[in-house]
Amino acid sequence: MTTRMHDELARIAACTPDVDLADRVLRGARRRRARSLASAAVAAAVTVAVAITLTVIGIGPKSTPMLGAPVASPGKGELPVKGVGPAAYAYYDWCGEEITSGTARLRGRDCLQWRLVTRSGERYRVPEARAAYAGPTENDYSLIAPPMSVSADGRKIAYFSDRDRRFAVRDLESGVILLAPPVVADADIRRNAAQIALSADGRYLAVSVTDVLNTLTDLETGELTEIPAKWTVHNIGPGGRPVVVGDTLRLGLFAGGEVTPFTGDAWHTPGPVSADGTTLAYLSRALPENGGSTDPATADLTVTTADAVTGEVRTTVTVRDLASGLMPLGMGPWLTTTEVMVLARDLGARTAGTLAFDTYAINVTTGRTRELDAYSWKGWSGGIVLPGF
Amino acid sequence: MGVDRYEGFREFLRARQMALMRTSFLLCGDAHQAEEMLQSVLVKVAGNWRGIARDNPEAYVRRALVNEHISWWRRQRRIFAFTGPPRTGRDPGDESVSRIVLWQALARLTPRQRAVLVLRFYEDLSVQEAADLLGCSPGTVKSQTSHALGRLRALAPELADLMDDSAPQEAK
Repeated sequence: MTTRMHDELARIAACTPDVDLADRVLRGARRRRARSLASAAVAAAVTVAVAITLTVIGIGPKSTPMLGAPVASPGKGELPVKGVGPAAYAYYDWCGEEITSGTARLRGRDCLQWRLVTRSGERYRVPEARAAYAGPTENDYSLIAPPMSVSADGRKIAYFSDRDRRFAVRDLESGVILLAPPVVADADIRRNAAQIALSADGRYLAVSVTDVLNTLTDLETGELTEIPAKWTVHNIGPGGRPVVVGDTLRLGLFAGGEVTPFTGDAWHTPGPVSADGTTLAYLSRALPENGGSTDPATADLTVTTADAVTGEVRTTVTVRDLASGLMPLGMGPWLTTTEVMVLARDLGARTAGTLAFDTYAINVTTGRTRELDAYSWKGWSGGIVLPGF
Repeated sequence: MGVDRYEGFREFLRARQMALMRTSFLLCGDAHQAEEMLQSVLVKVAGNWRGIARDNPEAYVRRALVNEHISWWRRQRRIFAFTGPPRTGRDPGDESVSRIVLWQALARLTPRQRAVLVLRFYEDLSVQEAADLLGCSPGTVKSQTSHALGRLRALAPELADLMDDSAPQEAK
């Protein structure tokens, strides 16, 4: 079949950079095999008498918070040891440079680091947080930086501590750093898209690294809880309840070591619990009946509220007034008792070399939306993190 | 000395990795992600190479690549990875307007729609072959192709010639 479509696709494909994956793939395969064998050996050694309901693996009385050490003497432009005001947002941008032709030239540059902007406008680099990885060769990189999260009040940040090889939560004002106990190997943090969720009060941190770990830590006690496989924590309420988890197409509530799904299959974007702790909100788009994928943007988008304990649906309304090309990326804090924040990106407004995101308020009772803020900066690749998302 | 569990794998990669990389690039639209996606798939393939090598390893990898692409697309929405449109590669003098427009329009298709276009019009697979690879019925491939082309028409009317040229192939 030779068509103009084929020819145009072939021309696009011709832009693909040369790669030689053989060594990397074989190294990865050997590591994977070694890990698999090690896991099997450990599993064989563990007694099968462990009650399956026991999910607290850090175990109570002996657990203690794990403290991280502050950076001895931050350099110019780096996050001070303490006394930092609440964060407005954090972002990274691959130095604002085009990266489609390789990343080696960016290796070791400060501009790769996560940056934090406070509500009062100060800007800091955060060198203690693992940044996007650019290796010594053009083909040695990881496109996505290990994640960062900012608590809803902006006073705490979660990140992957370069020195500790653990995820950490830092109180910006006091400078106290608490660590989630599991160590994550360099290779794993680089290869896998880790996901984290920080509770509204910054006390609980969930860490998921594909095929490696899936845990929830109470940072104040050091207690570590294992999350059931295939579920990832999306939101944690203040005080550690509720814990909203999701698999590919469903949302559920995690409690007592078990997950109780409370939605059917659809594209869901879960949000945090309301300030009074009673209500959850989430966005949904139905899957098409033919089994295909639904449109990525906001067509037929609904916003649902549900009981935070039982997951029982309270209200569902269709979202209105959003541009059709908008793709919701995450739900954030409740602004009032009826409005929730949403972060979205207009797929139809892509401009070469510019990253742009918008926040909206969605009224959960009427579905009406209003635009809040626009975030835009020079860059070809990167990400932004807002408080409470 | 034990049997080399990766026997023939390196040769397979040497011969086919660039073709697979091009497919990966068309599926996801970003060179870096394409490479990570392909690497992730190949690591898993290597682990089961002796079983996979007996059949049609390239078809297996392509199927896994499409599945990985759909899975990546879902994850991306949570981890905020974004890239710009393709820039001039090896052929800076050959950057046609339709190529750019097509690229931008492809970025707005769903992963399955994009996959079906890549398989049908780039890989030149028949409806049945695409259905086998995607694990769905030929009817679904036809309807996905039709939806994808319809969406491209709506997104980029200037590509009408491209669509008209492609449309008759849907029925085959």
